[in-house]
Amino acid sequence: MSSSPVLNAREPSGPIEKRWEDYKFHTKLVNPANKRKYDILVVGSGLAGAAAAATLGELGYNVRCFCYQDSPRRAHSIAAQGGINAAKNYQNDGDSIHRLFYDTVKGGDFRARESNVHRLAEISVNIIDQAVAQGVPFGREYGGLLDNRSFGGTQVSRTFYARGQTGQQLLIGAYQALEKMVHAGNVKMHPRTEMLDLVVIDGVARGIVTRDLVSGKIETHLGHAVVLATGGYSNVFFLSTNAMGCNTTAIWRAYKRGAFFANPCYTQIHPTCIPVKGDYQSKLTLMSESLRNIGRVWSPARTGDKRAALQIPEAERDYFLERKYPSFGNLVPRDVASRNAKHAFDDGRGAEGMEAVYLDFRDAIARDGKPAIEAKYGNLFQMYEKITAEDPYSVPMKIYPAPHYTMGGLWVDYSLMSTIPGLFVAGEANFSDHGANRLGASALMQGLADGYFVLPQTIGGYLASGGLNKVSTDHPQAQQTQRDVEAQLEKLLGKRGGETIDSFHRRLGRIMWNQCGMARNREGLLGAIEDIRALRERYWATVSVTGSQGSLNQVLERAGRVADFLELGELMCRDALTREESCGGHFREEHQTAGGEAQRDDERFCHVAAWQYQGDEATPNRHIEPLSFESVKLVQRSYE
Amino acid sequence: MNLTLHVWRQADRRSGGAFATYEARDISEHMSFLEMLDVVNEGLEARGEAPIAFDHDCREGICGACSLQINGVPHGPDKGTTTCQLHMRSFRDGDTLVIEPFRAKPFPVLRDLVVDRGAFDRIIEAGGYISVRTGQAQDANSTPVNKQDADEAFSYAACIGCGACVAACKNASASLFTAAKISHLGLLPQGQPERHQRVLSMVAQMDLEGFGSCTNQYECEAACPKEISVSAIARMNRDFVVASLRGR
Amino acid sequence: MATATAGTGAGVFGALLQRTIGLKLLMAVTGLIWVGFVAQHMVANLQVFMPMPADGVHPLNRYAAALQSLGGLLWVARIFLLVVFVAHVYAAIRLTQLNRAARPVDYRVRTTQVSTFSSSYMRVSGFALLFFVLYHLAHFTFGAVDQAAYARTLPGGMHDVYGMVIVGFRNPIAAGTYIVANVFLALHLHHAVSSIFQTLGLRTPRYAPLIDKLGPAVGLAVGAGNIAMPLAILLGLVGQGVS
Repeated sequence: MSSSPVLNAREPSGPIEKRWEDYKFHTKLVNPANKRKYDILVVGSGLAGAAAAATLGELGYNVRCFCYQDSPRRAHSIAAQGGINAAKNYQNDGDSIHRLFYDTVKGGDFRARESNVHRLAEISVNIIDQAVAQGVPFGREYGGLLDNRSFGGTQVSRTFYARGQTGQQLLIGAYQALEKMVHAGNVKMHPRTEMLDLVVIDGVARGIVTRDLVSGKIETHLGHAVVLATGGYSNVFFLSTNAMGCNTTAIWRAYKRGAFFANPCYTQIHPTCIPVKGDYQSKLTLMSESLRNIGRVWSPARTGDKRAALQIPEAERDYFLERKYPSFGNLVPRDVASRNAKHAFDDGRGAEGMEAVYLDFRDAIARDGKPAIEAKYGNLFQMYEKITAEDPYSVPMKIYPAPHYTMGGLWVDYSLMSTIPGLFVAGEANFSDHGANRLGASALMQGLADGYFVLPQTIGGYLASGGLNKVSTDHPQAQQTQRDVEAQLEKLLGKRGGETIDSFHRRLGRIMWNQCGMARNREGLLGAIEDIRALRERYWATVSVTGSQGSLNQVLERAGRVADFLELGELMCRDALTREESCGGHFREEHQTAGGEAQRDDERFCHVAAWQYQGDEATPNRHIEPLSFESVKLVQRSYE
Repeated sequence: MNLTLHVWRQADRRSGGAFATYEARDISEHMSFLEMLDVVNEGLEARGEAPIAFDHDCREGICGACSLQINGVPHGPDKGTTTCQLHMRSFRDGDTLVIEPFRAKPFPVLRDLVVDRGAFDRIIEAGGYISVRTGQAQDANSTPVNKQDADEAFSYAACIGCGACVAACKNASASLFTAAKISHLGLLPQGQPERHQRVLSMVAQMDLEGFGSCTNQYECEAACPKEISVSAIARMNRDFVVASLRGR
Repeated sequence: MATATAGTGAGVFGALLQRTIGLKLLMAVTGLIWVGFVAQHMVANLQVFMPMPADGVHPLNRYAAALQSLGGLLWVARIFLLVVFVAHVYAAIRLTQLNRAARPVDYRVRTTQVSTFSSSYMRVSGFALLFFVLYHLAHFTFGAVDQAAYARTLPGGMHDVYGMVIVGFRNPIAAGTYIVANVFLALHLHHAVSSIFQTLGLRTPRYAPLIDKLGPAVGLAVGAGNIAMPLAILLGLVGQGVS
């Protein structure tokens, strides 16, 4: 467990405000006329992928972009509701780049790399300019200028929003920029195409192997750099707020080809989701954090109180966030809110005895009037009513924590390059900016920062450094990779064991949720590792995979993804087990303060843990990147 | 509840298709429509049969992947609702449901209920954007936008590109989809420089893809899960006339 | 990809007609001209309800004579209306071809939610009106149906249009044809008039509720006015003096 020389973040030195500027100045450039000679493969078309592909195309590179969806516009960034942060200080409420930087480092419980976070805060302001110029219809005030709202973990209003559909609007903006480049011929789009492996030639990432999800055709695409912008892995929990298709396959296969996987156990459990009903449920629906601007979270004060919300008098309601955290109130970070909700229903104070607490808008409606609430949050209220058949204007919402985002991901250096040269990782797929907990409205910011502003600079620097010779699909390593993919598909299609893929996915999800969810402990994690291994063995023995390779086969798609989740789950538990402290979303029951808050151990764990694959059944190697805090003081996080 | 489903099955783009009948048993009214199909599919999978292929992803009504013509209506009977947000409480025990793919020449069936909506991407590609190089933009607050215009632009920008408008239209017209984008961008000051070229290019592409003409029956508006107003189409027509007369 | 080209008026027109929206615009503009003509035609013909003046020359005959005296201009108007009519039919046929091609495989079930009856049967009502116009021209303009009635003149040599109409509509088959045709006309206008506003881009949210009522209103008014004439004559309420 010693510091490893391979984990060099290659951060620029000097004052933190100058690092990104310095980096850009010292980076080699590619001559405009030479850009078209470089092929860049971008996997994923969400905010990070679409923004990167569009911008790299604009610069003149030859870009190919891949997504499993039928159109790049459907990537799951589209579902982000509440907003995007930027240090514009349009509200004149004391915001600044430094404050956004500080809030993000603190919100992440001091487990993120300072230089990256500062760069993110700097770029945040450009993102808003870019989006507005593209025609993103952000919410505005009557004077015609942009409006803001507040999100958790901050005391300023810096969140820009487009009703409850901010992610959709930002993604459509990036998608439109991408389509413009498709029209210009600089980007070739490959929808309904899934990356199944990474081609590494002589230690350098040179391409990917894909499956055409309509024809089943397996193909090798080669290029000079590969970008993975394939999102997070919350679907390891089976039930999450992610889209059904979200998966870990691209980053997992890259991990198995040598990219280190950083902090896999850092997962975010979002406090405000619609509670689960029945075992048939296929996914969880989020209610935007922005609702905590106006809603008050409470639970019955008395254990065992199963009365309906409206029958519980004011005096018998416990507004536990306001009580415990008077200065942040309902706007504490997500990990804190989720954990406190869990305490309430573990203690028998759940809403109507369920695993849920209330989010109540009564006071906001009385104060601002229903029309005002409807104008800002109407679509969220409507969505809640559609799903639950309850009217949240008159009855408080029931909310429940649910897996939502994964801060962990492939390890990247300051240039967003993984431990495999030429393999860049952006957005939720990398581990970079959020530490152990992401603040609300920061995912959109990071995805777009990586895609629009960081990668186009850093990839240029990588390409300009030269040394990339020409490779063809005849290369033995390319051919071997394609054969490996074909062999795995063949193996899966031979399975006729009678158990469905979803039944395995559900079982894995239950193990992960119970042992590696909101609270973790050594015994549970050790048990989970055993259980996952047994489940994985059983999967390969008794799963059924119907249909054929050469056609549209959604069963086969899921089979490969679940196989990867069955491996990833184990790594997450292993990471959670070795990180013997609590920080952000990673809560080890053995390590908590007297008040039940996460207790960090900066002596032993002020570092990034990055795992190196050693073989399917072998224990991976754990490397560390020490984190140093020069611009912010390392303190116990407090929102009281 | 128990239901009888008549579902369109088709092996691939080139093969012919036919309806097959399935029984959906013990369906809870709290299930979403797609979860009901999941149950049917898990049964098929367990028996070694090919499950019914259908497009879906976010299952929260925003990605636009899900489709399905349910008893003759895109996304089923509930107003302003995608199929993934449609719940079984909208149906009754013993109901018979006919489930078909969205049908239009530019939306070829790829398998069962999955269709190719790439035509929509190509319409956007033709001009559904505002050209701005990354990093070129001025400060976001340097151009105030009248709130009414911004709100109206948003109402058109809410389009999820699901294709229900095409599916609902007697003529398989893509007018509402195309007009929503033209109106979203045309209402904003940022969208003005390319406004005329945009409408000409996008309308040309819409026709080239083989969509039919607008009927002015407004079935699209009724079927749209985001309830986008056909006022967008009037706006597109107006812009089209002006742009055509100006010759650019 | 093709875009409209700048240049001459003919170039603009040709470019417009390459697009479905251009064809719809042609349909709307030609339709609007015909709505105007039909409304004017009805109002003029309602003179049939006026009493016979002392001099024995019915206002309808004076009006007809005034029209005839226009001479060449009348023919210009007739040819214009004919061209407009043909263009309307052309647009309808061309759009129908394109629309049929847009959905080669139909649904087993298609349930409409908001379509009006009139909008669903525009093609049927349109075809009915096409045949009716031919019949109507043969009947009253060219006198091919009842030559004796068409040949009626007044003592001064003036063409007796009033008498021709009265005699013509005493025939139940002719009157019935007109009544049925005008039901189709009312239906056609019910959808058409509001639709014209939408196609021309004038149906803005603020005026949409009003515009949506305009079509039914115009359809009803024109239909009722036109049906009133044959009906009244058939029932013997008008023109008792004509023999």
